[in-house]
Amino acid sequence: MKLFVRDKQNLAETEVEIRCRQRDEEVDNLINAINSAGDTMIGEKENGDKAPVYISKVLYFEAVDRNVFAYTTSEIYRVKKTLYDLEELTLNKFFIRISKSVIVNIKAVQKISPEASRRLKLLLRNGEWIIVSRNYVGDFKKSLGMGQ
Amino acid sequence: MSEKKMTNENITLSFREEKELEEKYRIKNAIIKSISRVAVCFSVGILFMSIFCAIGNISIEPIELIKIWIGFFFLIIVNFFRLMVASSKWALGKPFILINLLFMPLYLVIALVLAMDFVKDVDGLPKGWLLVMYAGIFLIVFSVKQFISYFTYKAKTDLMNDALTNFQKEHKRDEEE
Repeated sequence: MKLFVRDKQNLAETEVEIRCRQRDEEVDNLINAINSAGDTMIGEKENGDKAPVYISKVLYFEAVDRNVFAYTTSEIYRVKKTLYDLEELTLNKFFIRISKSVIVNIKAVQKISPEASRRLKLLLRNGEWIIVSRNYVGDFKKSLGMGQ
Repeated sequence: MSEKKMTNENITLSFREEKELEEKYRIKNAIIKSISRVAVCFSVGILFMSIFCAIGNISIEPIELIKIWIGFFFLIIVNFFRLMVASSKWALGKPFILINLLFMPLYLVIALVLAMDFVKDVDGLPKGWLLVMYAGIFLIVFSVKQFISYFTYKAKTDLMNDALTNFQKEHKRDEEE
């Protein structure tokens, strides 16, 4: 694999172009690595090990007491950020606040179901259900491109 | 090394504590919600009963007031368990109407026990028939209300699911581009 870096002063933002004979695993890994650059934070696993958490892989963030946890399909990480920080960090990354304690990745939602008291239930990619509070239903609908 | 081990234990504890805290929040929420909802029902119920008694010129004995109070107390307990079941992982995968229908017989029993005190004051029909009539009215109103609210809301969420599918298709295409 050859790597070229060219400086161009007239570019509005950094562009990356991949030229390949065919799209194989190596190319996909490269795409994932580029996509996740600037898209990570440090999290702590259950055993205390520190590991990078790729925001795009997070299904949802949940605040429990003073801790915030990031849930991916296979792991749970404790992240040292507040939900408020995460809201800012995940702005324009398809995350939306759905209750006082949860921020969900819309891309991880598989299905929406009705729940009692005008709330919603979201089925996530990992088979888990989470609740959208009544006060956040409007924001959630807007994020899907629906009016109130 | 010992410092590292200490940190690991703290974090493991914190993960365990998280589960315990979630359970505590569930119980706390269920208690608060059940008491507040029944309190509203109680005050509205007392108001309607007073109007009903005033119009029908029916007097309520003190013992009946205690029975009404006990009835509403049981309602708090039933509501608490319904909310606990409704927030469990098992129930999250089921339509909310199912939980309400499962608890319906308990609500029916409480409603009939409360209604029995008033049934004896109505002339013309045997008490048993009146209770059956009340049970029928309760079942019809409860079921119809549940089905209407479920299917109305379901229609709305179907639209949301369409929007979600479009949203995900659109952004998948953006990523591929």
